[in-house]
Amino acid sequence: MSEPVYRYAATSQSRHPATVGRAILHGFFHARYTAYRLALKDIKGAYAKSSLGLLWDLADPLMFGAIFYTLVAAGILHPGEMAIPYALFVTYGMLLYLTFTESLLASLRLFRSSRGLLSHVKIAPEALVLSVFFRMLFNSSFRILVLLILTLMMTSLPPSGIAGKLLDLGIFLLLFLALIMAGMAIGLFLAPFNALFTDVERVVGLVILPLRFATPVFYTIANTKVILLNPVAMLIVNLRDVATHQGFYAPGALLAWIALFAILFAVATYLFHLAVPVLSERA
Amino acid sequence: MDPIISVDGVAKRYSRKAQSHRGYGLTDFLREVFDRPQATELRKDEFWALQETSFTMARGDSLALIGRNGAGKSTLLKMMNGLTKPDQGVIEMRGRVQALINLGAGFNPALTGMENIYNAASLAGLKHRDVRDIVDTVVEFAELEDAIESPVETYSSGMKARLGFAVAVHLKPDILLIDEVLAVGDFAFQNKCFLRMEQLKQDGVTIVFVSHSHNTAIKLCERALWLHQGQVMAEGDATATVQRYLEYLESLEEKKFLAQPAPTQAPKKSAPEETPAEPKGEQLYGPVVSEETHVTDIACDVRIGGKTTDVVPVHSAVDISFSFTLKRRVEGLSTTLNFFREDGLLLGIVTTLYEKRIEHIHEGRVTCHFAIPHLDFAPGNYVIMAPISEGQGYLWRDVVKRFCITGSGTVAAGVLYLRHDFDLHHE
Repeated sequence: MSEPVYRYAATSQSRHPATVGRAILHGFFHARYTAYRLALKDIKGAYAKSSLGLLWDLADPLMFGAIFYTLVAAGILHPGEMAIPYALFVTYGMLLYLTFTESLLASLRLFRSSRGLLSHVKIAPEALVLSVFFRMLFNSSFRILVLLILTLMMTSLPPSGIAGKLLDLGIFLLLFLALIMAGMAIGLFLAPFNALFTDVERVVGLVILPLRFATPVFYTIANTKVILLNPVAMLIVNLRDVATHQGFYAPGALLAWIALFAILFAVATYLFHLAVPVLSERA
Repeated sequence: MDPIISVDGVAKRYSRKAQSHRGYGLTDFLREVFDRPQATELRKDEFWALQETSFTMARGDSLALIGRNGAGKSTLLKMMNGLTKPDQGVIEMRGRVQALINLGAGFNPALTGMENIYNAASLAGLKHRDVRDIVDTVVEFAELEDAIESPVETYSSGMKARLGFAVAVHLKPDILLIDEVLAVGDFAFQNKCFLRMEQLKQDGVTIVFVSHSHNTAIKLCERALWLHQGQVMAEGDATATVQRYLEYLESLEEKKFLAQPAPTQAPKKSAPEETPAEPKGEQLYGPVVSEETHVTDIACDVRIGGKTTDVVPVHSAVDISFSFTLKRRVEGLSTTLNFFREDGLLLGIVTTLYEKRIEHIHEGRVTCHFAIPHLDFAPGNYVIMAPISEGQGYLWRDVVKRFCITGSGTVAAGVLYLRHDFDLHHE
């Protein structure tokens, strides 16, 4: 096996974008185990001293859901017409929106949360990106389980029977990955700027809160423009509709948004790769 | 054959101010993205942490990076490990690089030692099966068999360092970058680490070692690079380079020493007392009795060849003249010179106490000459504390002299620099 050669120069890596691209692909492929260990370290570290562990993760969205459910049940809030029970609607809304924001914030904070590591250990930037993805998959697995159990309890089989249900499940899982990718793409794109200026995170925090109310999380939104122009709304509506066997909502627009997020993710990964050696000490 | 490490004209700059540090960070990042050349000059508030640094290393070479704090040693090491980007020049590293910049980097205190071994090894690029192959050896080397399943937060700093070092040196690197990490841990483990590094050297591993311990640098490395304020001052044979560096440090110490004010005495007290004074409490060099109640006009000179000096080359023959004026008749007078290292370590005394105790002496000037044929203290700063006693009581006791010993770059360990010759036989 030939020995690796590392070249660190003052000249910009962007001069050879193909080389950077190959390095990124190499990083993603070869840093899987590193990323897995990083994710495992974070997960174990986070729950090492907690008896209830992951249940706390579900507590916040379910509590919100319960409050809204009570408000609707009491007739205080009118969430609009919906094809599924409100409890299921709001649980989907909360857990999916949480997944999006968590993916966004974990990627956004990647420089700062990895500062100790980046300043002492040579690590492929892609390992950090993958570790966020693995962490999100881990967190999501419990949410998906909760959603599936509730869906089975509260909805009936689609006309296509079990096969249709499995197909919907497959599409749901793919869309779930798209939701994580969307959050990560935005977070990762902003991460280099957030490494230098924490104002970025504050602005993102300011946007995330009202965005929840412009997204069908707690109630339906009749205005189709709001849904079409809000990519998070597009993803959440479709995830909920597919999971509850109601088909797609504006599939063309959905695909366009997913494609856009895929491009943004590729660009953000490229920027992150370039940013690590320049900004790791400045985070 | 290509060098395994090539550092060519490398420079790195940092900003002194946090705001501009971040601002320049954004500029540099955007230049990196849009392939614009980086600024070649210093911008406002910036300084060169490293300038025009070039050297090469062949497989199995070992290089010590020496210099004062802020010289640029760690910056260079970080760039060689790819942690930060050079602002000028190119670095090429051929082979697997393992850096020991912070032994606990990547450790999660809430996880067990075993889990952290897997984490640390994975950061170095090892797969699960590769880690499994070395894990027993790592635990054994770290001597943590009993604690390996306990959370790392329960470890002492020495135990953490042992674990970090054990992982790093068992990853089979081609190049090992070490940044002053062996200061922690007990002596036995430090020794084990050095023996392991010797073994790695013999196995062809190239070592770059940042150290403030000059003896360690000389023992571990064949070559040394002396950095000062980001500039290469000297590079070459480790002993010669360390000597040049020590000469420089001594010249600094000498300047600093000569700039110090002479030892001052406590203000005089007008009314003489008949009994010896009480010490005023413990100081760095023992009790101080500085009131000139019984003696006054205290003076002390260090002379070499009849010439008064405060800077003494090591092994010099020195005459020390110590004089004072007695204000009253004293019974059983003795004078002593206590030699302290600047940090308070007592190295030795010369005294009249055991041989020339004077039974009766009237008021008047007393002068005592001490001749020391070879002053063999190691290069450094020293203090003379001089008790003047009447029987068991102090008439006066305070610092009378500060001087420094220079060694022209002598590499000495311990408190004495023993003059010696040697002859080595091998059968």
